[in-house]
Amino acid sequence: MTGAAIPDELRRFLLSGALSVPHVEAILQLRRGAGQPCSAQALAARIYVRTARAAELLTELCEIGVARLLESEPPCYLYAPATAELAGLLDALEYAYGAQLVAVTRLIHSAEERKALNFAAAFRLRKDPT
Amino acid sequence: MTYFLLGAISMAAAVCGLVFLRYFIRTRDRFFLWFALAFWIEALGRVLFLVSPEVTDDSITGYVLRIVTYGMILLAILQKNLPRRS
Amino acid sequence: MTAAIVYFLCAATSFLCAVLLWRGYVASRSRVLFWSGVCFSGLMISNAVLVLDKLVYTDVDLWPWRLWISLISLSALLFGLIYSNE
Repeated sequence: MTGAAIPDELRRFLLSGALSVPHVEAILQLRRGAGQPCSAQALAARIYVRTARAAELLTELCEIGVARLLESEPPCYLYAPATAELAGLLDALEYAYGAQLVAVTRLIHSAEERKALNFAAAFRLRKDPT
Repeated sequence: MTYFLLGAISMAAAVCGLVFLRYFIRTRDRFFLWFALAFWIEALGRVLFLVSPEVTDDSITGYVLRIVTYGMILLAILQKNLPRRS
Repeated sequence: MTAAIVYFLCAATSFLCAVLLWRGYVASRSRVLFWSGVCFSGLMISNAVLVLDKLVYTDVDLWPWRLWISLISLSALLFGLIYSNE
């Protein structure tokens, strides 16, 4: 049951390991907020993680350029993709996550393969790109 | 106390072996199979220390276990660095 | 004599693994390499203590120390293999 293919750019983005499943859930929650600022506590309640973890996720999303921190008390975050290209990718991500959850999570989880590849690569005595 | 430590080490080594096995299944790189075997032999060795009082670091079995464990790791590194593609 | 060779070989293998893993960590900042480096550094120390135990301080039993070091090392590896996010 493959349906429409996941766009190549989105596929590459997910394989890069920039996002984990909790990151994706956080992004979707921020988007659904329709421009409303979201605190770590509110996000934690919606995606069922601890507040500290939600705060970490939001900070990481700011670093990737998906969200922006507002100077408020408590600190709140706004969905604010840094570039139009990233915004397009995240639109595709939301669609794909809804339509092909299994395929998307498989791409995200291939981060585990990256761990394995990093481990094995360390044991190459000569650093060549094979 | 030593029983606890031997048991804990055995379990930790066995689980590491499982993770390496999973990496092998994902990547089909035999490098991980060697590591998995090495860690499982380490786990087995600790169990032998527990159940057989004659198996110690100084016994023949102890030496063989150690040589096989570290030998497999060396084999993995060797295989990783051989010129032919695996 | 055989014992000394086996023990040194094991320590040397752990040392080689530790060096490669730390080198890899410095190059890539991959967290799995950090924890693996910690593990094999610990195993190297455990093997070094084994050499001391069997060949130098023969009147003292350093086995519990070696077991603790091995357990901590393997726990570090397990943590890195399972929890590190790449």
